[in-house]
Amino acid sequence: MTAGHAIPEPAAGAGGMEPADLARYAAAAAAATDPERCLEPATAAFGDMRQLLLAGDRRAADGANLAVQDHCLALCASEAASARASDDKVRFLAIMLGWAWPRVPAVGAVLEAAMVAEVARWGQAVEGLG
Amino acid sequence: MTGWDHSDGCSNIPPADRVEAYRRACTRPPVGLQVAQLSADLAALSALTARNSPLARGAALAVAHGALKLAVTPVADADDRDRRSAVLRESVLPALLGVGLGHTLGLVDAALAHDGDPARLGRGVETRQ
Repeated sequence: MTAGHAIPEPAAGAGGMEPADLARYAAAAAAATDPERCLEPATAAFGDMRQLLLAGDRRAADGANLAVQDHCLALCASEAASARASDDKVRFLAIMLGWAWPRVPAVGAVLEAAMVAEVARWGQAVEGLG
Repeated sequence: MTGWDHSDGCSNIPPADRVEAYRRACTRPPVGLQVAQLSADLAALSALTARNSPLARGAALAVAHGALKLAVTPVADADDRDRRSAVLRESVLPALLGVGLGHTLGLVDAALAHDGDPARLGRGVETRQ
């Protein structure tokens, strides 16, 4: 562990935020209360990836694959706000886990840990996944 | 569950601008750039929290998302790996614990458990077997 690489504590009142940053934060906050905002772009990117693979555009397919991963990681970053949202989240992550693992083990590990955490948090296994 | 399209046709190729965007972003940014973005998001989180802004929650989630992306990014060498671990463990995770996103700790640990797995370095999309 090299402490010299740590991020310095931000100064009190530090700002410098760009409008794009504020929009990004607003989108992240909205997605946390409505998982559909993560699921829909993730499924769209997944569809794009499949089409690009079929079309033989490997480079673009890699980019779409990264977009799928990032949407899934955004979903993992927030905790579901309801049992229904948790159920949707876990079902979606289970589907994506089948794709991510073993191609990108670290992403698969995050998805799996997020599923376990959601189930533990809401105290019920998701039907069909037990 | 929303929006799964099980068609196997090639008639739904994404628009050209989206394809181009995918081509431009076909690999993750290097660790150094991601650390800089995380630093900016952490500063924003601090500033927004001090202002009691409703966007503080979004900034916290952006930090959590950035931490996960960094944790799954393949490292080029041992120095990158040390830098990544130091940033995540000494700066990002304490900040997330402070804003009620402690569950991210387990997710980051799950990703970092794959450190040193050479099989994941440089891997992209593979066709299903």
